[in-house]
Amino acid sequence: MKILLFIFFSFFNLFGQAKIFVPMDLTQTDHLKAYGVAFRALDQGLKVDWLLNYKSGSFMIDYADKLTLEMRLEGVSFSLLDQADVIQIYSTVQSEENNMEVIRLEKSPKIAVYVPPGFQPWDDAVTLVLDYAKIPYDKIWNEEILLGNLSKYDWLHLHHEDFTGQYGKFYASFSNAQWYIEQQIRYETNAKKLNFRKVSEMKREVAVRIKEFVGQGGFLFAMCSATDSYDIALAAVNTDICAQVFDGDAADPDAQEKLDFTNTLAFHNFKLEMNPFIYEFSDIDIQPLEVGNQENDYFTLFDFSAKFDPVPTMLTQSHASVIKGFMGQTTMFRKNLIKSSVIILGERPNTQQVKYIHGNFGRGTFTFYGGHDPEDYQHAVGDPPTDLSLFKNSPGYRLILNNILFPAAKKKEQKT
Amino acid sequence: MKNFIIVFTLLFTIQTYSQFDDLNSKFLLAQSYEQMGDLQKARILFEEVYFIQKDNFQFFESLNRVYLKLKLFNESIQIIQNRLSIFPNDITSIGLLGVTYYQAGKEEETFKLWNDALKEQPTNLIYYRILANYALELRLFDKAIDILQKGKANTAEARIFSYDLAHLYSLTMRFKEAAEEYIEIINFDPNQIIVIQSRILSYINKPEALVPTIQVFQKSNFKENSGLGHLLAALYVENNQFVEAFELLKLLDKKFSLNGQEVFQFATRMSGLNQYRLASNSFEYLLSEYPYSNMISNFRLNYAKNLEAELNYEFIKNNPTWKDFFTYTVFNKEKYNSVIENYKKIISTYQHSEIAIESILRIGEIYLNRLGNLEEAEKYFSEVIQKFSMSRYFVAAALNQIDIFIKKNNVEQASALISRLEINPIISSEDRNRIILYKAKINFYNGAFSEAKKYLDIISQQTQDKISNDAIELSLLISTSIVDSISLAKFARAEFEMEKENFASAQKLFEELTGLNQLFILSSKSELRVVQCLIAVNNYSSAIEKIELSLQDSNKRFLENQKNIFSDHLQFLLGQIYQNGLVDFPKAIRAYEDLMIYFPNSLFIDKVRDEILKLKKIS
Repeated sequence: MKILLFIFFSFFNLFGQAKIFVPMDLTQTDHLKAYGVAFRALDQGLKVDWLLNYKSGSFMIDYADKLTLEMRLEGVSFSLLDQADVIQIYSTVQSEENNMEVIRLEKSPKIAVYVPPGFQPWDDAVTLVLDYAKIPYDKIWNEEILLGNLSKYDWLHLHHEDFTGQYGKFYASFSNAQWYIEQQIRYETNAKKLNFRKVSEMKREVAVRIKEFVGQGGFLFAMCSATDSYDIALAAVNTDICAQVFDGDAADPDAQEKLDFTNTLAFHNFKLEMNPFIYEFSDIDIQPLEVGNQENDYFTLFDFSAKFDPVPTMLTQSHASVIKGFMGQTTMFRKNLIKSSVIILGERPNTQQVKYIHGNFGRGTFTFYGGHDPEDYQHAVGDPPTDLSLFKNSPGYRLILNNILFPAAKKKEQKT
Repeated sequence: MKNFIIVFTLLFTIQTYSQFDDLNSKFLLAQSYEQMGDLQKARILFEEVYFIQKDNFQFFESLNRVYLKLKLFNESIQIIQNRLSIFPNDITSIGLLGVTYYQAGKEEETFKLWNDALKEQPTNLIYYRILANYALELRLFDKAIDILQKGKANTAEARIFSYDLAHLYSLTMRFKEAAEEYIEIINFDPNQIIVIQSRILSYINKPEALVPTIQVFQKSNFKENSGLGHLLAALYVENNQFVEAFELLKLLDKKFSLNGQEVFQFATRMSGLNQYRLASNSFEYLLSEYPYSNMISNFRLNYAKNLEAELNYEFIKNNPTWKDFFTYTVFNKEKYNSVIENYKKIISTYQHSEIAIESILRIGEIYLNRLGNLEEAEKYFSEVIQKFSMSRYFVAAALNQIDIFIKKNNVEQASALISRLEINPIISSEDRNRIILYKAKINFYNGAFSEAKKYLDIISQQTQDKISNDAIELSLLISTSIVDSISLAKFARAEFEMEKENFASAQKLFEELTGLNQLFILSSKSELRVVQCLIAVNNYSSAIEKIELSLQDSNKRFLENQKNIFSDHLQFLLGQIYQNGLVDFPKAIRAYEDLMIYFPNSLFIDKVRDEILKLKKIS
């Protein structure tokens, strides 16, 4: 009898009020802002269900007047559901016959973005989309990380950063540019202030601290050059890979042999590019010639089992399974250099080119996404930032936002 | 013996040459190995050639470079010390030794070595510059600054060091010190002003650069040095301290007899930045100080134009431009008359010139658009039309005149002028579209609907021009209402009354057309027009009443095609009345929110979103 009453009240509680349904398929008018709405609903204590693979990863949120007004203001399409609709959706999603799952989101994650103070002549796709979706985040830099402030955050984003201390290897093209000169001085001053003799030593220590953050349960998301340069910095923890133009002395002639691949998160067996005049860190990155024509540059998302592999399923929720590619300092990753423990989320089929990967380290996870700006194929230094109001339905940007909400998911017992 | 000497000399030469050739080949091979990255092989060959010719700087420098690449610091120290034992005062070797010490982690030895060298040769300019360069190579900016400061203090060529110091200070964001160095240079050599201005302006937008730089310049002798004063004025402009810039420029202009050149540039810039008051004050200054300047006509015209622009800004601010239709209130009549007087002076002084014609046109536009005096306006436009048909201001005058003819229902004269304009070869495509729209309107107001539609369809295809929207709307209305030409004619009459700003009579005619179920577009448009007429005459309570009635009525109609198709526009106007007419922001927000709820696909959605966000910020 007690069990029956419990089921009755649970049932009543679950479906006792109308819900807001936010479709994420092609009917959605602004996919990017929909994530912001879900994020703020969590902040307001509302229950948010992420319906994986149901209408391309839709959201079902407790009804609140304020939220519907906000959605109207933001131009996010939604509909109101009565109890019968809600029951219908839950039963469809939870049916064993459908590759769908309900993920209850619990609490909005606290986000930090690793970004240098001051102007940078490139733009960060993640801060652009966070600002557009009005998702709050803190900017942190070396000092905060070295002081141990990462523990205050759930999610850390790294973008167009160079963890090897080679200033993005822009030396050949930009060593005489004012921004490059100023950036180098700013970084050197920062390193000296934090008692490091070289920028590369400071960056290496920052990389190690970030790895500790992941090991202790943090979520790391990196794009563009922050992906491979991060792993290279971890591998080069015992050697100097920077040429004189970067740190005032020569690189270790045996640096390649001294790399320790057991330290890295995602890549191994890569070969360093130590020529300061070549705009590349290693052979991890896929070169433009290998990518070929822009017209043919698309990558495909893997279709995971929502019930058995909810994490990769969350990270690949999209209204398009084939997404147009985009270049970056690091555009894609070479498949044979990716560790076997890493899950490939998106790639160019039948090639060595991998765009989007995910893995675990310790109690945390990391996700690496190649390329610079999903809606600007070749975003060059000094180009104006992308106006996301023109790309409200960008599947490439949507993948970034999947990563923001995924840490909010209530942990379920793994079925595999 | 002679033969022996010849043979010996020959053999010695061949031997030496072959040794030299051998060394050179090895050296080149070593360089190739170095470039390939095989540093060990490069090192062996460089050592071989170096130990044969220790005094060869190229061999020494290459070997030392490879030692540093291989991080063989002791070996590097040894060969540099060997060289120093041969050339004890070689500052390059001292610099290189310091570099090796530093890379080996012996920072203190580096500094001691260099400081001792400078003490040995305290007045040697080259010593300071070479060692500062080595410090920069090691990214030791503070040390480089220290060396250059010593060089500046101890040598006779302080200015050479000032340039380097200023550059280093600006790079390291010590903007105050950078400004001080630059001032020193300008004081020493005023001809450097152009170079220094471009250098300062290249970094002045960096955070915390502008204010400290201004403060340093304010303490300088800028009143005595026109270059410094000029630069300070430019810095004031960068910091939006326009009044300070103007005062300073006047002072410099008088003191250094600059013939108003810099004040003129400033005035033009202020005009571009919409700082009309300052711009007109500047031109006024130029008029009073340089009455015989060869640019006096330019000063006069710009003075009048900026006076007018300032009044226009106030005019727009004080008139309800949020309304679709309104009768504007005349503001600052006296001030506009004063502007007209200024234009008249130009006309009488520079008769038949382009600036005189522009002045005539501008007087006409003031009478038409600001003082509401159509008769006076017409006098000026017709003067341009009749006397200056080759002027570039002819088209603008003609278009204004056509506007007046249409308002006066003077169809014949309007048509004649349109025909004259149509054959004008310099007319732009936008003005040509405007002429076609006039033709359509004239026909529409006079009941020639088919003819009107023909012209409207021409403009409807010019989608890049904004007036194509108006054309499409009117064309649609004609197509759907032509079946009842009596009602359509009444609507046209009402529209004409609107054009003439006779809102009461227009409202009356529109009201007669509301509720015609068989002509729902005409009827809906008339309902909208009634509300617009009420808003135009500030009758907000009636306008609200009409909107609410219309919306309720519209909601009652079940079929989509029976609803008022302008309901979203009416809902938007409700928000606008509350926001701008009655200044009741909560009600305005509520009205806008209702628009978002009930008309989610409306064209007003984006505008409404912006308004809500703006009002919420104010609240």
